[in-house]
Amino acid sequence: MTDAPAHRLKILYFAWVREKTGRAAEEVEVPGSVETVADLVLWLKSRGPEFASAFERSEVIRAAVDQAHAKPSASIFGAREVAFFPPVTGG
Amino acid sequence: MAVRVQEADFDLGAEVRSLTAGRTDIGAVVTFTGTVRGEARCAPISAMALEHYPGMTEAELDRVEAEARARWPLAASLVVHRVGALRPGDNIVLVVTASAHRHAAFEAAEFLMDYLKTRAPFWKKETGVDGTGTWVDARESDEAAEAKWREAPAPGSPLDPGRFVGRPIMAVLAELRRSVPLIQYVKIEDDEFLKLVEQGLYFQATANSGVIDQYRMHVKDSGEYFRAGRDTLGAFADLRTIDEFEARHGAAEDTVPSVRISTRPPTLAGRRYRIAGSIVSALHDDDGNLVSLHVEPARPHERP
Repeated sequence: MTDAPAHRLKILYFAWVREKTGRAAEEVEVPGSVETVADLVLWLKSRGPEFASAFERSEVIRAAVDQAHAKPSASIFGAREVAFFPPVTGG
Repeated sequence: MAVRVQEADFDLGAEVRSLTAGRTDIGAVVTFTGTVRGEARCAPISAMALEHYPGMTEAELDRVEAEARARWPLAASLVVHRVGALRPGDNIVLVVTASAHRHAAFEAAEFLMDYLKTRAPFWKKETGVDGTGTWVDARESDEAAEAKWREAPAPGSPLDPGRFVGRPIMAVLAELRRSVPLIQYVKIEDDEFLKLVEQGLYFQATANSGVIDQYRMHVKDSGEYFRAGRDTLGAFADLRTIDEFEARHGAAEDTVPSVRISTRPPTLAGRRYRIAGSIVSALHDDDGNLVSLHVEPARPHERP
């Protein structure tokens, strides 16, 4: 699938993931080979030390695709928005 | 019926009055209010900041509320969650449930709080008296509280896999299609499979027989299957590790080796037990956590 076209994605970061990446939101051009949430984490980690540090313990980071909770194996095909955050602590 | 996220405080009395005004079908109103504790990890705090994911928060609270309304006959419900800067003693969250009778209102209020705590995208940051900020960690006890509801028999179709054994796999497919939205039929060489991803279950018909003779229940969420519910797992529902399994069912008869095929990840290893005539393979990960249970029920002529 390396020939798949790149696609544009809005990425949001919350709580300490936001603090470590140093940004709350960004628009990125994601290579077509990035197909799942787990692929996206690997790709983000390669973008710089702040991302490598934010996603260092990627097993504790949760994700949402188009505002619904998603597993690492979830596809991001056709998604508009992906968010990364620590386990939620509301209530 | 209503969900709000706001910076402003709420007034419990006013919210209940407006929810129940003019209603005579309500016999029970239960409210829960969560407030900011002045202490965290044995140290006083001076402030708490609540961050959220606008859009998803409302969507998730709507989903949680819809789930509560599907499970209990609620006449009215309300969730209000505050965000922004809060201080010790301030209100954080309000849940109101109203029903004709108290049990539904009590249970639905507890369910809403348990689900909200593990699903709604809010994050708390506490500021100590020295000014240092600490993000609050999620608590495992909250996840366990939520899991309790998830494993409770869902309204609708109780799915006891045993009752499908010995039936033609195509007939079971036709029957389950109505109640199970995500169902997949696969044929691999001489075996046929019926995969029920959301129920954490597959049925198998071996050797071109076309008749279900074994099934597998997923005890743990995996990339492919969700965890099977209590109505599916039955007596196995409370067993989490291979050691717990062995403590309950005695020593294994045999081990199940991990199989390595070049193009795929190795299959899980496990232990094989004979339980009431059925052969049950308990497959586990490297840490000893149960992942799935494969059951080959006893055939009448093989019974001891």
